[in-house]
Amino acid sequence: MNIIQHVANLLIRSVFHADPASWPWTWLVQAVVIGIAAFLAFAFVAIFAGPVSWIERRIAGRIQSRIGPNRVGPQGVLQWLADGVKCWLKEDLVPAAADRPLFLAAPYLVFTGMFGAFVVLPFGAQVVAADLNVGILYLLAITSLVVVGLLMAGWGSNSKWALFGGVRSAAQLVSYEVPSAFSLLCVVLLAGTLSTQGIVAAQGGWPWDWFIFRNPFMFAAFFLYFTAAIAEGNRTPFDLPEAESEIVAGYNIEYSGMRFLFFLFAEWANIWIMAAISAFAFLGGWQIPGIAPEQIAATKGWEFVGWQALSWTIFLVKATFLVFVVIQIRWTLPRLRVDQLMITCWKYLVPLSMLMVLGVLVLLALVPEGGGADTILRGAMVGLGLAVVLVSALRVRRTFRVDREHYREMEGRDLWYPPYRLP
Amino acid sequence: MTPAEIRERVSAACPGAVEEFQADLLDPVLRLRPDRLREVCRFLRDDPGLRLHYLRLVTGIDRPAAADSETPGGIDVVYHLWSYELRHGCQLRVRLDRANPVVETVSDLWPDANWYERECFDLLGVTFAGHPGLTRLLMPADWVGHPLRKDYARPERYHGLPTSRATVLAEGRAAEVAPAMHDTKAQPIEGYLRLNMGPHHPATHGVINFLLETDGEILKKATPDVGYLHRGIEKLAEQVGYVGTMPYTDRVDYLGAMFTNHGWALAVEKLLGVEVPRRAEFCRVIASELNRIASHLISTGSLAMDLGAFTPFLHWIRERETINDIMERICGARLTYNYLRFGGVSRDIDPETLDKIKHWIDHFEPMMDEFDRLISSNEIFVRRLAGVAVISPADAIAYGLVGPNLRASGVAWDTRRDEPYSIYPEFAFDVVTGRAVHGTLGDAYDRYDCRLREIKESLKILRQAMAAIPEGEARVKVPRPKPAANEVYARVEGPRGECGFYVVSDGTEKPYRARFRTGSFTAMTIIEHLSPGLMLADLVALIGSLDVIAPEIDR
Amino acid sequence: MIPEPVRALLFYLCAGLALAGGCWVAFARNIVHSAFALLATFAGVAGLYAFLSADFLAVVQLMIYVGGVLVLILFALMLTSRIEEARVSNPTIGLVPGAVVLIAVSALLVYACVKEFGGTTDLPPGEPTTAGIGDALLSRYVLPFEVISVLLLAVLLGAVTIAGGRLRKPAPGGKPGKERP
Repeated sequence: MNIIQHVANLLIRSVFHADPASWPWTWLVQAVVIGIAAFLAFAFVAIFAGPVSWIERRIAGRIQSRIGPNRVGPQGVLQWLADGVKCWLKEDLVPAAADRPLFLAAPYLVFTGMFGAFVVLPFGAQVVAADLNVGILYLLAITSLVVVGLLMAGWGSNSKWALFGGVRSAAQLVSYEVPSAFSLLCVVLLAGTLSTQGIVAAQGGWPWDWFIFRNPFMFAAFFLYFTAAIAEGNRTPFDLPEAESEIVAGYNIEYSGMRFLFFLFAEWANIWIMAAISAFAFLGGWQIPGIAPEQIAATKGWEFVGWQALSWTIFLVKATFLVFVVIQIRWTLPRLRVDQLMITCWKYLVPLSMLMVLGVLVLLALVPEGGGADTILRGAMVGLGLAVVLVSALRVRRTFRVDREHYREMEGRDLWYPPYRLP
Repeated sequence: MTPAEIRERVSAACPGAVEEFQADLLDPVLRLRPDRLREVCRFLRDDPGLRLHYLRLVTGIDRPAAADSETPGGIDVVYHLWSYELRHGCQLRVRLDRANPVVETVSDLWPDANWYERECFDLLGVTFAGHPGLTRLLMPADWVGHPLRKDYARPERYHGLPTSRATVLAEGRAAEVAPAMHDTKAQPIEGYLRLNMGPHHPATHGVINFLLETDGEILKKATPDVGYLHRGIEKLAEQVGYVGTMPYTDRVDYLGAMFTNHGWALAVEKLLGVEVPRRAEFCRVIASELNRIASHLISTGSLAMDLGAFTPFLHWIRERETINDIMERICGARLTYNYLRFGGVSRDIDPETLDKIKHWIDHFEPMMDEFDRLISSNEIFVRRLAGVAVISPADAIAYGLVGPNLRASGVAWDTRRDEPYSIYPEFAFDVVTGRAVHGTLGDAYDRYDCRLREIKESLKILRQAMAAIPEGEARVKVPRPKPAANEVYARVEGPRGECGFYVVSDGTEKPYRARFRTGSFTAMTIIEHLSPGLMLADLVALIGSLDVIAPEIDR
Repeated sequence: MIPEPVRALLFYLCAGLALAGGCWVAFARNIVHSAFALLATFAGVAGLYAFLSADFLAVVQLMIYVGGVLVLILFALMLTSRIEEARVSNPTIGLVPGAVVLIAVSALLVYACVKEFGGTTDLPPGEPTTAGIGDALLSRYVLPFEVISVLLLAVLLGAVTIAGGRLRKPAPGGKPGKERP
């Protein structure tokens, strides 16, 4: 609110040549400035949702031995803009028998649910829209708007398939909120605060300071959270509500044009949000190795801006890497049947995540921070993490080599080509 | 047992039932008295020495009274029966009164007769007494007339739409019409949700409608509703003649076009008594096995896609592209080949194409391992398919399943080995049966697994064929085929199983009756039987694992 | 801090949302619309909580009421087979007696509020409440907390028993449902 006030005062002084403290219309200008800020935030979200769609389609293409969009703009980076424009220009179809107010309002509700989550994401050292002191809880709460929105879409479409999709989706989202919340509870226990900036501040820049490597239960909690988050976001292998080949896109089925794009928009934004939450809750967020947040807060001028930019970049890199992982999982795995999905949640994820909370509590009580046992645990976990990364990387390298040999034998050319020659 | 021996046995057990034994036909037929049909059928099925458990085909043939002769008009219903265990079969015929054709149903003896009899009723007007639900199958429920009758006159309009092209062109755009009623709907059941899956649906492998009664996710019954792709190819065959039907057979099974071509060519060559040169047979086998691989690639890939894994399908399409290119080199088309001719093939395969095929096979074999690593052992994929929609061997035979569907349930029958045709006896290959590798024998995973392993067997055959292909001519010219009056049933093993052609010739250039027996038709009959208790997602897995092709069902 | 007029605007927005939602719940013809209008009410009340610096309560209101109770109501409405025609399932009856009761009750409420709070508009200082609530739940109110946990456990078991019992019973006319691995 301070920034808003400053900007508003600046505007009032320069444009209207009035003193903000005594001018009767100050509040109006501030309201307008708030509105503009909200619009900018919306555009900001678009900047994330749009390119995520481009990344997804290019990665999907690569995985599937094809190219993906590469016509609109260099390497197709503007494809999402083109899609947006196309959808704006489409006819706004509302089925004659549909429940009109519900049908029209549903995409906006879903979108609000996703959009609201961006408010508390800590992008950088001082860069967060609103550092709520119930940040994590707010994240969990705002996504429940999405559930209501999906039910609205399913019912409002007045189609049995849409209702199927909406109800399945609501059941799935509501169920997977439980392991998701429990895993985040582990994080809150370690951090001692619900505020998102506080959680990041409780970690450090180096990997052994990240929450994921604090103890084995946190390591498992990361994967539990990641799985539950993928399910929350309706991504394969949990994309039953949008199962194209079974219920033909479920709750989306009657939507076309911009309303349809809003649902997709919300889905891509959600991928980014899940990755961002995993990044700041488990992987250290924007923390820069080697420098503490207080030191950053103490700098001034261009150095301050530089540190902010660096912390922003680190956070973006971590979140984008996880976005890649989510996308690759989607295009590799088949989907679970609805009862298998529910069984996975209630019989496996929920007990496991409760176990993680218990484990973290026990270790919190028994293992003092900074002591010998703590260092051993952290070291072991970092070792485990490195081992996982190494094994995966070696496997990829081996497969690549085999394929390259095979390709050279078959085609007579080399498989590798430099990125600047991407088709 | 030879047909004559079967005739002796039947005459002994059911005296007076056999009116005539037509032994001079290529496939000898027992003509029965219509009122003794059920008795004879029951005997044929249950007698331990006969055990004809498999009802291959039920055909209706319209024989209107000739203008000059005294023989009254009639409608023949011909039954083709077979026994997998004893490797023999027989054909039955009943001649019904044309004015009021009624005969008893055999759908309780062989369940796949249910749909065969509905089709006969639909297209010829034969009433089957005692049939549980004798409604039209392929034509809309309110259609007037029976299209396969020789004196069929197409109604001028159907719900206001003109039915002839001339009228359409003359009148211009049609005015508002009532929606066509393709109402073969089963009765809705109280308390269950009635859903319509299709006809436009990504998972139904073509334009097929399913009427589902569900209790939430779990199905109470799924009734297939077919006929959206009925083009009347059997009637067309009667009008365009033997030569002209060859391209139409491509459209019956578009993914296995080479096999329908082969079956048609085989049937007509048997009628004509034409011998095909060896090189032509090799060309046929090479092209057919390539086509089989292409078809199985699509079917396994699309099963994976229906279950949510989009990537394997596209990898398979990438491989199939090369097959399409090879086919284009061989016969000029990528999908609907029209390659075979009576007496050989239309063009020889040149050595460069053979090289390309060899090159491709070497490239493709390691790809199969890659595919297996990607999807076949994936935990989620296995869970979706293992134990789902188990078909017992007895059910598979009773419902007339053929091809990989039959073999996955454990019945080791492959027409290439067990009713050999062409030069298949010269090749060494295994007949792939289900192994219950995950879950139960005869579940959806076994059907998927069978198809994958069949690809490997096809690769074996291809290698052997390309190594042994002799020099020679690719075709023996058969000018204007005019087979004498006879009947034959020829079958080939296509990717969807036995692809059979029952042809009745009358001495002219056009067949008197051409009947296609396709694997997908009988595969659809078993869906209703299996559906109670399945979940919606399992139904998708079932349809995908049965590998149905809609044009094959409807022709 | 937030300037006075903006605060007033925010308050009127939240309160208006809650009231409008409530009116729509009561007067909507379509019962599903009523249920969805409850969302507006809950959101408005959450906004009011946030306005009163009850941060934890606001967020929990969203999570529990919107994400739990409202979803439950919606499931019950959408999946029940008794509501024949959802569009006009909420007839308005008893308009006059309802209006009388409305006036009487609102007069009482307004009188009570004005008497108790007497027109003051000072808001409590914005302090985080989460820690305080947590402490209270585990020290002073630990017994009700535990009893509520047991109650929730009983609810969960009851729900599973009722729903599971329905699965074991054979569906009308069909074969009994099987357990899936």
